[in-house]
Amino acid sequence: MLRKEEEKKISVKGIRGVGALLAATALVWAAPVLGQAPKHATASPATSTAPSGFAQASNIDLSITGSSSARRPLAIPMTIAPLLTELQTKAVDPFYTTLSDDLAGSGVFVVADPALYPKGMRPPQSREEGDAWKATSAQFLLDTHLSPDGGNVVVEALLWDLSTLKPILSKKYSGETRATRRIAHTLASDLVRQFTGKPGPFLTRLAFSSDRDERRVKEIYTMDFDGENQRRITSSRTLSLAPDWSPDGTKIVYQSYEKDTPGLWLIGKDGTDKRPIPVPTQLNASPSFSPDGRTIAFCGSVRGNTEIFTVQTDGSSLKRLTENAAIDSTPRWSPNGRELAFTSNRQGTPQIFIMDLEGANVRRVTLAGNWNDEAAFSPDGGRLAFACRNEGDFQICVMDLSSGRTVQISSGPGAHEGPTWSPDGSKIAWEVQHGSSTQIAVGNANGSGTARIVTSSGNNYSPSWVKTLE
Amino acid sequence: MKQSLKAGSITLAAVAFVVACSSKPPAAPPPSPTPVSTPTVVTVEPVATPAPMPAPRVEADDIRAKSLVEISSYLKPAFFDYDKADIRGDSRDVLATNATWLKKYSSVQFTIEGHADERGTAQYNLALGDRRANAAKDYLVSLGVDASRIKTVSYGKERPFATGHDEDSWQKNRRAHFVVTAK
Repeated sequence: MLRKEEEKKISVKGIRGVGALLAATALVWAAPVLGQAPKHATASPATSTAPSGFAQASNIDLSITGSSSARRPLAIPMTIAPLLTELQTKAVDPFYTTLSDDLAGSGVFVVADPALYPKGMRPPQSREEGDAWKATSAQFLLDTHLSPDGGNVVVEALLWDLSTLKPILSKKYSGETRATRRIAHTLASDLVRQFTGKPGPFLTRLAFSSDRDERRVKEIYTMDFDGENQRRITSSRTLSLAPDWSPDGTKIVYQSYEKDTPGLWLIGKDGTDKRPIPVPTQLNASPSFSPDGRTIAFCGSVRGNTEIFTVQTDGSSLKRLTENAAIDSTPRWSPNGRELAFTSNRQGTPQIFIMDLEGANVRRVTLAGNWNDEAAFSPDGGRLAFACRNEGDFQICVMDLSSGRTVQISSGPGAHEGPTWSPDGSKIAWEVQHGSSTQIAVGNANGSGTARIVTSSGNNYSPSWVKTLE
Repeated sequence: MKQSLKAGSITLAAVAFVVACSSKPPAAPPPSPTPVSTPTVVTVEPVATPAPMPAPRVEADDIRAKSLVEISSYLKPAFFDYDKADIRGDSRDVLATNATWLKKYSSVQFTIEGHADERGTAQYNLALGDRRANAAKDYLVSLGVDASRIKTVSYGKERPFATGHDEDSWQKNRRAHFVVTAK
């Protein structure tokens, strides 16, 4: 794996054909380098130091949730590498595919059609060559080179502005060959940060439950957001459901039936340090970590009446928040830590309500449809994703909390449930039951593009996205 | 596939015996993981003893000879309407029959599982299943069954009995299901 402590963020000395380079953006492990001015550079400060990379971004007026006209057209020709079959299969193809998929699905870029790309002209060294690239409708060109280095690969990337024919970003990464996808994710994240000021979600992971093992019982798994590196975390041999990440990404809370009665459990993200959270309630479903990582909200039952409770992670300070005979379930913290969304049928059908941590100021949020459930706040707290239904199957809806405007972001047959947001707010993952199997889908939070199914083994449910961008 | 029966059930050899007095231990009891409360006099009775409610499904009254799985089958499930945990008319009758049997075999301990059909969300259905299990429990208690004999657990839509996508299957899954855990 590309481990940060070992990673040599090699100061960029030069790229073939270009000469020395511009400084990288201000990343923790980047060392800005000033070398000779590249061929087409001017003395303009806009291209020389990290903050100006930001200034450039502010000129671009991008927003991830903006319309597609705000997406920057980007050409991504195939990565250049020595012609070695094994390198191609093990490194180049996975690198290029991962990079292209990440950027195409990012909502920040629209990828120009590779069928239109000119041959060669990398990098573009004249106005004519630049225009040949611009004829593909691209405004930017991402030129990547990959070379083997023992058991490692080295990737060099340059992002060219085709109007000025100046490179505006240069990166160099090295890592083990088997970490090539991670290098692609890192580069994609760095590119998104170049334009938006925030890295993309491409290095993040999801927890979920799956019945794929031989016992066909649901255990907790984790995976990269694109479905790679799926790993089982629990071995409960019984039902383990509804995982939720701690805010610092080190552990997962979930509901498990491994004792006589279902309970709340904590487990480290690598499957270590498993322990129950002792509570006197029954059911103990739908646990949700508070933003400060200290409190779990959950659906508990006392004498057959389900209510929303909070408890500290050591089992102390159990507190009941709701108090009525209706079903109250599926609590989820707001990012400011002061409110909880939850589902209740207290007014007839299951709808989403929000209350404060005393259980007061209860207000209904969803007004349309006969079943709204499984609410999840966006990381900035401004939107709510939830499973929505009127007739037919559940879909995934996103409501702007200040205006109330709601859009459906999923489509197609099957029950779409259990939305979870990426930590940068650009994507939502959910489970979709389609025919005889349930799988996890990842789509853009603004509904653009097509959602991708990222699982295929057995049935896969209740995704939970990590809460930090890493 | 029903996964709700505990793995510990054991099929006993059918041994029928008569014990006269409490001082004489029962002859050669087969191994059993469940504590048997101390009936001291047990006779094998013909089925046709008068009972307050007809119970033709009980072939023999000596449940000690029966497995937990088989005994569980004597307690029929109660079914519910969509998104409801109310005990409806036909379920009242079923639960009343179960209550009669349970009061007769007062050593039996059992769990009521609450189940839901596939159409709600998984999380909501766990809550609904919990309500159904407890509604059935409360009704049995109101009929005189000791609450300490009854555990409840919800499986929501996690362990369906029928896997079709139609009302027939959905109705089968909207239930309070009985599992005997000790006799």
